[in-house]
Amino acid sequence: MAILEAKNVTKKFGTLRAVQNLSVSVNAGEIFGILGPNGSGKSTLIRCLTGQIKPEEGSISVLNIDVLQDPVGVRELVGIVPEQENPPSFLTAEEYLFFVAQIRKMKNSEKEIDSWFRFLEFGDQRNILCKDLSRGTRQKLMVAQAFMHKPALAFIDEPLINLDPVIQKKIKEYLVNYAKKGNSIFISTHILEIAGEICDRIGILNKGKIVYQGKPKKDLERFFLSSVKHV
Amino acid sequence: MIKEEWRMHSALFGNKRFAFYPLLILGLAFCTSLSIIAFQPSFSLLSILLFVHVLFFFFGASIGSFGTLGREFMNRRFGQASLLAYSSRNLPLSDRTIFSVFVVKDICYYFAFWIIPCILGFSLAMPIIGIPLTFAPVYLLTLSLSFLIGMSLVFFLSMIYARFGKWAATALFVLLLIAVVFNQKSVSGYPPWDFSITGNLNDIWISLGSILLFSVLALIFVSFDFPTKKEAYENSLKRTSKRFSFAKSYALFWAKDYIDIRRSDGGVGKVLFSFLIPLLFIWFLLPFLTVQLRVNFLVIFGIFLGVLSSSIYTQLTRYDLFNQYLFLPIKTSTVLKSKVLGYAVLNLLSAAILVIAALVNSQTAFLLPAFVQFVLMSFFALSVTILYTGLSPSLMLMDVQTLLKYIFTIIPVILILVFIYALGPVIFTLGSVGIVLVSIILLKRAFVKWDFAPHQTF
Ligand SMILES: Nc1ncnc2c1ncn2[C@@H]1O[C@H](COP(=O)(O)OP(=O)(O)OP(=O)(O)O)[C@@H](O)[C@H]1O
Ligand SMILES: [Mg+2]
Repeated sequence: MAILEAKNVTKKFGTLRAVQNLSVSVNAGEIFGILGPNGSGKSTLIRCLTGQIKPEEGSISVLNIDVLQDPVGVRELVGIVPEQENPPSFLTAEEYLFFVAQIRKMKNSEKEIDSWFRFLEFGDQRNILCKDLSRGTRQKLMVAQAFMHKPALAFIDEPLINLDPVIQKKIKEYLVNYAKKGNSIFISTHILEIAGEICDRIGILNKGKIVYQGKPKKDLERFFLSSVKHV
Repeated sequence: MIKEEWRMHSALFGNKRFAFYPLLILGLAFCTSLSIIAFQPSFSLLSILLFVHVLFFFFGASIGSFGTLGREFMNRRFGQASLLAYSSRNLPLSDRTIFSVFVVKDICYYFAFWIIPCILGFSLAMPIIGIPLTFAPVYLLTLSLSFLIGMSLVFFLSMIYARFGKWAATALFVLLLIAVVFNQKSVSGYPPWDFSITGNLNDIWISLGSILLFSVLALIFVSFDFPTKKEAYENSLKRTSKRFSFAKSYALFWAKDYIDIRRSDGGVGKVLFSFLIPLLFIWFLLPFLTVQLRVNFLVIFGIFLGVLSSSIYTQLTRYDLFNQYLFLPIKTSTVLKSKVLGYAVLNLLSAAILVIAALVNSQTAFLLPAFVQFVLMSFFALSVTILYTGLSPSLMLMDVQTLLKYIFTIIPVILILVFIYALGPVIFTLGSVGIVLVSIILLKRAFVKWDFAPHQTF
């Protein structure tokens, strides 16, 4: 069953077509990886799918909600780790998670917040202002923020890039388990090993167009290079 | 205020459009000078010159709070963006040297973009009352000095504030104020102004001396609080939003704003400063203008208070960015609404100032119309600000086009408010209702606009 269904989506920035006539679908319980060179449109696609920007053409349905009609409704249900982590500057990490929990109208958020801080090994960092945190720590915070409310579908834009190997491993395992429970994950990444390891299906994006959609191939690196080159 | 954003601005809007800024300022200065001179034929040259010199003093004062910026300079403003600040630990330069370079750079920016264009605009208008253009260099000198005196004084005061706390700074400020008030004679002999009339060279030495004294003292004692020391804070968001629970669904956002302002460098003091200094300026100069205009002082004061109050909105949005909210299930308009409500509450402060002004000038009879004027202007200015700039007024108003649009929307309404008041109570009432309606419509349009904005740049 598809819980995300996008058809013929086109997003332009001026004359640039960042995403062109793109169709993609994600099933329940699936980890879908989106790969592609820098500037190929991965982040733009994620921002369209989550109602952060409006595509010029196409239709998008997420968890049975029309994203173009009700972008806020979609964001209530999904979780998003944005490409750039910029939590409000003068809140501490803990306050920030509380802030998001309140916006999401979560009950008993304190327990959940505590368990995330423990899981991601924050230590005393939880009481430091977000702006004073290291990049990796801010990224961890954004991961916690996106999964706190246990969304049925989470979008994560390069979540592991600044994280140390221990945390990377933890998060990878978390994602796999999370999907096993029937949830879905839409992940963009440059790390092909991760894609090959955890993704059930992948899409390869090049210059705004999807050039492959399906099971990750065996020799993903060679396959990736050749599919990106051919177009 | 402005200085924090101009770099980002020039990166955002492109250097070409930014280059028009000085021309725009020159034009505005010219028109303003012209209209003051034209409206006030009875003004003597002396009083016009005093007015302008005091104006430049306050301008300098309003941007001089470098002293509280020690940390911000290194961190927020230039930290990530500037190689120079980053390399401060690698280069054999002291913090103080780098800080001085920043201060000087800032001053240069103000001169290039504001001071020199303003002075030229003013000088170009002066031939109308028979002052030849050849006096331009004199004004260039004396007005610059006046600007620098204001700036170095506040630089000094803000350093005291950062070092010794708000009470020390307030005490010093009050002492200075008392000294000025009880020496009215020496105010009328304000050195740069005096030089522009008498050509007495002593004035120049006194001016230069005080500028040097204040800035050197400030530079020597300014403290640098480096971000290497990460401060831990206990979670106060929950507690604070409970305290604001009367604001219902906006309590959370109020709490966030409150915490942001409390924890930011300079904090509440800076917010008050940026509001009170222009206010003081208006307070002192309006009586002087309104006598000539034959409109009640308090009513005009109410209008200007309204315009100034809209800067509270800029402070409330200082720490918000669109893209902080984009990935959360919340509409931009919800955030904007929380700001509007917070703004309304903070306007009680401005209203209190209006009442004080009425009492001090024994004009309580005019309090009601002045209050109406204040509310109208404040609400209208807020709606326009939100419509044009959304959550980023401090940044967007640096765009010449947006600033022009803003100015040309505000000025007519100031004039309309003055006119409908002069035309009697019936017209005044009708006009007031009209302005409220227009403001509401603008605000509604603003909410729709920012909910569906492409959000690309921010
Ligand atoms: N707000 C914007 N305004 C204009 N152009 C944009 C904007 N956002 C993205 N683009 C352009 O759209 C294209 C796709 O960008 P996008 O960020 O989606 O790429 P990406 O695949 O995520 O790249 P990366 O791997 O570097 O993260 C790029 O050419 C980019 O310059
Ligand atoms: Mg990207």
